[in-house]
Amino acid sequence: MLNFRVSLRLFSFGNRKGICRYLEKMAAKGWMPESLTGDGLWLFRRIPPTALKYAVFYARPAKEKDGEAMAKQAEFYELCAHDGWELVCNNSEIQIFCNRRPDAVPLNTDPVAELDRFHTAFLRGFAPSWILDICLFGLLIRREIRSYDWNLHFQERLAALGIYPEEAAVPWGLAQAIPWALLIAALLVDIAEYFWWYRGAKKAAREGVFFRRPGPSWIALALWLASFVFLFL
Amino acid sequence: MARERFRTLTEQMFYTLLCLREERWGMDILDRVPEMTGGRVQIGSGTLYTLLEQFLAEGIITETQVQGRRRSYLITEKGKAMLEAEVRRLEAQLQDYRLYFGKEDMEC
Repeated sequence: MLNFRVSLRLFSFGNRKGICRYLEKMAAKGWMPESLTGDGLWLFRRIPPTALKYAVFYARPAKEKDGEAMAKQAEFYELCAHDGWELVCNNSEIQIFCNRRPDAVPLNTDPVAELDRFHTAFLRGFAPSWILDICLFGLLIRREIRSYDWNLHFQERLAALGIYPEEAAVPWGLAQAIPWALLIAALLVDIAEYFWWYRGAKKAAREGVFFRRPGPSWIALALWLASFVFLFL
Repeated sequence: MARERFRTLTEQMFYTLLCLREERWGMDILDRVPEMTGGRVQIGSGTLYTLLEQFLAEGIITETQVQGRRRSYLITEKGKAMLEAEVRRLEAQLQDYRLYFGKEDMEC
């Protein structure tokens, strides 16, 4: 019998209920998570089948060089241990805890505090890539508009489809920039939808409601797909 | 951000600050709050950690001692003022309730 197994299961960043349900099922089958990668790859080790409770906490693990942060983290783990919560694994901004007590006090009991942590962790994790992507796509748009060689390439592609665009009103350099413009639009829609969701979640948290994970952005997805269509045209 | 976050206090925030009218270790707060509320309010360790972090950052509480992994805290004057403001708000709500539903409904 193998003592380790690897499983590919990707959850969205805010889907803590999904993560906990999955891990509780695995614990009942005799598997405890050892590590988790950002691509949804879980490494499990064998344990006797157990009824365990899991909880997700949004916080970046402290760096060993940062003495003050390490000390505060030690205090946090001490508080968790008081209620029976043990850290099992972490990845970037997510820390996963388990508890053997059936009547354990939940790790997060205040919706406002939990949403604050989630929002901070989300921005820390995603905002840098948003900024980088917008800058990158912006540079690509600039390149396309200024490039004449791509105009010819694009016209040849359309000619192969039986479309002769000499009389079109739009400059072809600009048209070649459309996929990148669509990608920037998709990112901006994603960002706007996140903040719209956050606004509603904040209001609900004040009324004692724990947040539900942000849903997928269908508009952003449609813009992403449209950009790929243009890219391969 | 801070003013909005602590404009009204959740029960967890309220009882944490109430606990810290005396110097207390973080772990003592986890036990003390259910005692004070007859088990009605419980604070999760993750929530307490978050609240202590936020209160320290805003100067609502201060750290008084560090012993290994344990730290003790005490409410500041700013924290006391915030707690008093919350109590006044709750008292105003209670008064409004008594006014419109009558005092007899409050007997229990």
